[in-house]
Amino acid sequence: MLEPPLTGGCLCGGVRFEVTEPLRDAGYCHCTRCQRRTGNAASVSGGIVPGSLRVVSGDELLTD
Amino acid sequence: MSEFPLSGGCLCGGVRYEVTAPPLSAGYCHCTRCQRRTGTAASAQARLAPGSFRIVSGAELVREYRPPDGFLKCFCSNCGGALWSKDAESGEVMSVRLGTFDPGHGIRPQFRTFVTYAAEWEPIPDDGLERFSEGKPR
Repeated sequence: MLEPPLTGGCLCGGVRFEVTEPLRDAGYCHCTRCQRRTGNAASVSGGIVPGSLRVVSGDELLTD
Repeated sequence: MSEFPLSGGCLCGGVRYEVTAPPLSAGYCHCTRCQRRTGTAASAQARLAPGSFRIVSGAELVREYRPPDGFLKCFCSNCGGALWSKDAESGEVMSVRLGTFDPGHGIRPQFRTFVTYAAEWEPIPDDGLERFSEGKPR
């Protein structure tokens, strides 16, 4: 794995983030909620150490 | 394949739709745009027959992201759920994301497009599906 911070963002680039600690794990979730949310058969996510996610830009674009 | 119309919707159920004719095809798209949009290595979607799509409820919740080129990416503004792509000029809904169909639709992906850009962290499965380095020729 790359040395932290890992960086990433959304499709339009409006939201950018960094993860400052190594991920704890990563895996696929096949629940129906993730299917409907992604439009795919599964979601794939990295579990982060609490407090290790920082929004670099675009915080105002995020909705829960 | 199951009876038509097929039905589906987003995660929160605010947007519901119907597809009234068998899709023309279905496949996985491995382009980087689909990766960023879904948060996964590829997007699974069905290409619709023209005129076979209808929003049943929640049209006011649908929002469109307009990339510099290509189809609009439509999603639910309430839950963020991916829904479909749309041709900007004709307004025609082009491809509906497979994960949004209600169960039992019977659609199965037949090919993989833009495999040149496949995510390094998820090898493409050896599933025998036809592969296209770029888009699928029409």
